[in-house]
Amino acid sequence: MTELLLLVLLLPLCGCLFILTTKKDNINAFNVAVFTLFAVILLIVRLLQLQNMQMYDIEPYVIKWFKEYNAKLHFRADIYSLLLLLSVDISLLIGAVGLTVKQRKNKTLMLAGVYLAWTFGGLFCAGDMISFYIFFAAQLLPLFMLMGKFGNMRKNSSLSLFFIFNFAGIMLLLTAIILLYKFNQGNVLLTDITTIGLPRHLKLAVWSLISLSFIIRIPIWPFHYWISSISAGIKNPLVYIITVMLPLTGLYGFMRFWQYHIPQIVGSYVPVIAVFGILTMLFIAIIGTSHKDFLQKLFSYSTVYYLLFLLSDILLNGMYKLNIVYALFIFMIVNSSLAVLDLWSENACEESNCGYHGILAYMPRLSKIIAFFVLIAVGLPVSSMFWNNFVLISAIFKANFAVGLGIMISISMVGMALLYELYVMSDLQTNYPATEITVEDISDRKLAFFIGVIILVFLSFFNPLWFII
Amino acid sequence: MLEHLLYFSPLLILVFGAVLFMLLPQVNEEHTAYFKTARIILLISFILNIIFYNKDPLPDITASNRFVLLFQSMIYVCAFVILFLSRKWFVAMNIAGTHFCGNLFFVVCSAYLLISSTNLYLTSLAIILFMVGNFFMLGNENKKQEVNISRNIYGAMSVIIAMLLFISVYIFWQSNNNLSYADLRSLLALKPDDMRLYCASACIIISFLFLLNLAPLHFCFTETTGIMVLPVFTYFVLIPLIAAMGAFVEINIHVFAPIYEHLAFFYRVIALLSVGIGAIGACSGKNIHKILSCGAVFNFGIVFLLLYDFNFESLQITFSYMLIYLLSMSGVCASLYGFRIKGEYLFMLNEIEGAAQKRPYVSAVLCILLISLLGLPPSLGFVGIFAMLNNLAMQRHYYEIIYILLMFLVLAYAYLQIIMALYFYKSRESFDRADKGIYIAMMLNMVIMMIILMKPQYFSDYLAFMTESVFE
Repeated sequence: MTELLLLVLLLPLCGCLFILTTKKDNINAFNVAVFTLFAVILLIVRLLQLQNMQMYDIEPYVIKWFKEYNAKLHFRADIYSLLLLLSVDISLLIGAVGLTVKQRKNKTLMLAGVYLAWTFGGLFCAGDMISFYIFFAAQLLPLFMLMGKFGNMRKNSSLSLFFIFNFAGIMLLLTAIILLYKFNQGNVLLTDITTIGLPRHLKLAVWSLISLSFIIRIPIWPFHYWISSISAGIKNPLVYIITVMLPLTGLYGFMRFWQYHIPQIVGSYVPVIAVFGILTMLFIAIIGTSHKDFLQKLFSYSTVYYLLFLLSDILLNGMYKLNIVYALFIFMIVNSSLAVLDLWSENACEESNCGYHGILAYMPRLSKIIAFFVLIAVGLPVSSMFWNNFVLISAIFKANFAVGLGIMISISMVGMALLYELYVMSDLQTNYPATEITVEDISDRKLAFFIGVIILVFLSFFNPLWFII
Repeated sequence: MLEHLLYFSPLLILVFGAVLFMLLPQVNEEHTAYFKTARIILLISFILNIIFYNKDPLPDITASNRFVLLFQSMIYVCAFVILFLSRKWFVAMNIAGTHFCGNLFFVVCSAYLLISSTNLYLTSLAIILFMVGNFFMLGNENKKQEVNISRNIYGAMSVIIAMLLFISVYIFWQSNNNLSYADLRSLLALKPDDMRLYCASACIIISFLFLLNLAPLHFCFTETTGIMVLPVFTYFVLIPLIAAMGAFVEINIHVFAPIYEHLAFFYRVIALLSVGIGAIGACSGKNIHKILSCGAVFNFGIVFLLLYDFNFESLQITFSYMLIYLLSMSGVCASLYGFRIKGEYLFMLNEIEGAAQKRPYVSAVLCILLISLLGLPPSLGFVGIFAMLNNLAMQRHYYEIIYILLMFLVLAYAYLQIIMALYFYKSRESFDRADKGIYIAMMLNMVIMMIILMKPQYFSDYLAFMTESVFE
């Protein structure tokens, strides 16, 4: 199993090398990227099968990297990391499928996508703090490049802010790691990180730095600005999906560093995070309803849900991690599918000049698929997201009624916003064209792909890990 | 006699090279054979230097050990890289470049002497020769008026530094006729409260601060590098810093050790000042050379901070950090040779806008190396910054860590401007085709960096082996 894990980590890196050797303006880079992602998905499924739902039974793979500093790098995988990695790779695959022919020929885009798949793999399988830091920080440059180059960015200041904020977060994490490293006289396993004996004031400093570095990525107010400003105007499905995935790294950081329990010293500050989290959720939900763009609403939806998962983790003291991961698994797939489907409809709009209102009326296939995914997103009980969100929100209500109420209001608002947008896209009455318009619907292959995704989502309703047992 | 001549051969070959190229006419036509000859002469000198590294022809005034060899080797390699890269520039400009080669041999000679010196007479002489070499180097192939002004300022500063060195030598000579490092150390240990000796020591330290371009004596460096031609810029960000650092470490260990506790605070202030000024200065310009030279001030500030008590561990970390910086910087310089429009090499941010569309590989390498200079993983810079911060944490220098990380954030903004100019603008002009040699140099640089990144232990062990001899 360790060899399989190593393969999961190395395959995207090999994919990157192959993409580098492909010719410019050629579809080969896309083919390599899709093949790599598909192969990694199969490997993860095989790993999950071998692991058979038990936690921590994969022997860690250890690399003796820097003997002098006692820096051994550990890579291990459990159900959380494998499921999250699977959802990330499936989402990236969905994003790749969503690209136009011209976009598929972009070698840099493919390279960055596969490189990010590698960093996500490394991050989710990191067993110690140095390897976690390496992959956490390694994501910055490709993300920055993708957003700046392919996201139709016009605001350079927002892009600089994105880099500086994230760089600051990375520096904060590095400082915390250096302090922990010093007191442990070497690298620390993530499972042991809460047990290191530190003086009280230093412990507070270390955990504050770690929390801050993750919060910057989620993003809670006042760090929310950059991500909302840069996600606006991104019209490339793969880049949009990657941007929306960024908070997952912060959320995963919290889940891993506070694996078993929240350190006592920061436990008293959890209500503060909860207050900021709820305020951000409400604020983003209100902003989401006021936008007239589906992607903006989808962005608000995803941010609100990330905050829900964060609050579930920290308010419930890490007891519902598996529910969070099950919910996240479907959430990521649904989110990326919606982004791709919306961008397809927007492209069809542009090509046929029929206008955004009622576009789905001309595209019956796309209409059915997008409606299904919107309904899953708002809480249709056909996927594991519904059940697990239900469990999480119930537990939050039990723990803190006010927070539960805030969450319910926020998720209702973003859900309503998505439904309204679906209505606008389907409703032909208000904007009936004078002449007959023909819009090309999605192809058979794309339809088949999304039917496959729908089956995957639907099967998760009975058991999120149906492919194992 | 013949034996001594043999031991002197690396230096004599360098002198021969300097004289030969100075005497050759500076014709306005391309002569790649000159650069080839220069590289062969340099290589012969380097090989002989390695063969006779532990043979000392003048044991009273020079030292030959692994530490000296390490720094001399770094200078040889950098000079080789400069000759290799600058040939492209001179070919593009249709200039023979003989004076540049001669000048380079002259400064390498001075650096050779400076590093191996164990006597204050020789050290002072080598510093003065070095400054003379730098002065002439500044004027190389640049006809701009601003360069002459900067050159004159550098000359004036050099005269002041030379006078300070003269005063220092005179004071020490009055107190003790023998100016060998060992005798000076004994003198300082015997008279720890002698104010005159302190002043003399301060004069020597100031001259080194000037050579190392540390704040507040950095202005000549940052202002002149902004307008100088690319080969001269490459020289200034590599060779003077290595030579000065090697000699500075030696003089501190062998001479200033008895008074070090009084100097430590001063050194720390200088280091922190350089870090701050370097980072902030980098953000204030649109000139790539200036941004990178401010980055050099910043990085050498950190190097200076790491030298807190000149023990084995601190030296090892210092040299690791410095070498990683030099490796990244030489790669950055190599990639700058890849940006050219109609034969003109570019050094302003607005000139390289959209370069990534025309020169994707050169831009990608520059981008990766800038990220490496910021210490972001998975680049090699991470190894340097990790070792540096870990070392500072071990010494409980927590405030310094916070300050350095803050300044890294400021520096990141400056480097970001370069990356954004490369990638996020539309290319307006067509770039000239980059020479294959530049791609080879960049590729080699990346391969070396990757090997060190994969196996940092070998690199660290090698440095430890080479460094320990400085204490013998």
